[in-house]
Amino acid sequence: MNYKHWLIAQIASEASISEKEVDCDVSFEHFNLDSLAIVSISFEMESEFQLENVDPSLFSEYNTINKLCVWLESQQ
Amino acid sequence: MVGESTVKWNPFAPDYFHDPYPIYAKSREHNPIQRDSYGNIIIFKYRDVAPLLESGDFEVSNLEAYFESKENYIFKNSPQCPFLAKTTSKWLMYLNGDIHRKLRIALGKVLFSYDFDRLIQEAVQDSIAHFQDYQELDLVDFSKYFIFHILKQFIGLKDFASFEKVVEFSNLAARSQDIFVSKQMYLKINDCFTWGKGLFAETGFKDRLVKELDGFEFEEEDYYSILAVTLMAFFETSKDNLSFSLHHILLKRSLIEYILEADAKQIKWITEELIRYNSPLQFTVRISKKEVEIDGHHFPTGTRFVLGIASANRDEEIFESPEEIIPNRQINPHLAFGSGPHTCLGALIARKEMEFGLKPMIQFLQKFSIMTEIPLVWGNQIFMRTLDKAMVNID
Ligand code: HEM
Repeated sequence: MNYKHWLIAQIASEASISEKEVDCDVSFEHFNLDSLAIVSISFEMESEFQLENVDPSLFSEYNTINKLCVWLESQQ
Repeated sequence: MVGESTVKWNPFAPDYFHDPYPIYAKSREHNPIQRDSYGNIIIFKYRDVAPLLESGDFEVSNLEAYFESKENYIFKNSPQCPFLAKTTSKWLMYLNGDIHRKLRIALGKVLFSYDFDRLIQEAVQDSIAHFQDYQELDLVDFSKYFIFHILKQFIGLKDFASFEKVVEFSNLAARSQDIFVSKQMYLKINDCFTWGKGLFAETGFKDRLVKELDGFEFEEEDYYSILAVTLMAFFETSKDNLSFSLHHILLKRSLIEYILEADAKQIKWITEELIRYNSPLQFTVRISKKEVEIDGHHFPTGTRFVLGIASANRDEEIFESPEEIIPNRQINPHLAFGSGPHTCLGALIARKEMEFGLKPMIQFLQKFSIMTEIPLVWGNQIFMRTLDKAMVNID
């Protein structure tokens, strides 16, 4: 399963930028996301990867795509 | 400093929905005023929550304005027409000042023009008759059936407003107010609000509202907003309160016996106690209108406070053995109906549902036992705690 590609697509779509512009080492704060976006992505993440109750505060702890991928891999 | 302790309220922790009370208790003990990562201040102790509900220095948050600010984002790539702000624009619990006061008086007059004693007693008989031959039943379905039958009589729902549709409408309307709601969920709620416009019959309740609200220059959509909030407030919390209550009672022989033998006064005591214990609305929100101080902490104007009503109702500083249902508890200043200017307008009705319902319902339900092999299913809701399934059978 390609977490990274999936996350890039989500961030690009939420921030209305192209996937090429999404830097996987830049903190989520820099993408100018709506405060609801993180909740929406965690919700999508739950159904996409069959996780339970994904905590939106995860995004402040694992605050880049690369860090979040590490977390996601540890969940399998 | 607020929120430095390692004890943190986290509604995403495993098991939270099953039982949020352990983290409330820990928070009261170790970290009663917390700041979350969005800047909300979450308060857990009775002595902080109760005065805040009553104080004139705070006002309710504006749900309509919140949706207005989010609709661009929510509907960005969606063909749906935004209807979240409109549907919630006349929800009493999100209005302040003059419009709140006037609308509260008008809605109160309309509500109390109904003979709820009769409607509730009929619904009790209807529900028991309906489930008479069941060998196995879901206490949640039983509770929904009961509340639906009161609601249908008084709001006047259209025929196509099936039981399932009303249940869904009420639940999604409740969820629209939760915290941490995703865009996908808001789209689902919007769809339901749009569909729900056809739900209400042009009779009774609306006519009375129109008459009471003469001079307000309300439009069709404003009436719809009031009908929607009445349906949600009426259905959701009292259904939850009843299903939790029936479940707790059937778990404990001593509570069954208490109810079967209780006189009217004793029924009132246990009604109050169950409402305290259940606190279907677990949290509510207030915004500070000026700089305020709580327990030595200073907060600027516009701070968003999340008040732990359910936590306050289990506070050992106020209630003796708060984690126990004490059926004849007599000093019971619980906050389950709120307090101050926004105190629940339907509290009297909710109490009557229990006062008329408990004894006959338990007389009927006492032959059932909790099916321990089928676990309880709790809904993933933070503000309005809800039970999705609680099976009992005759063994
Ligand atoms: C056990 C059942 C119920 C519980 C626990 C409950 C709880 C509450 C609470 C805590 C509030 C205050 C919210 C706040 O201050 O932010 C409230 C407000 C309200 N409730 Fe209830 N409620 C129940 C049943 C009902 C029923 C049956 C109705 C009937 C229509 C109703 C109508 C309302 C309305 C209209 C308000 C807004 C009042 C205002 O803002 O002035 N509730 N409820």
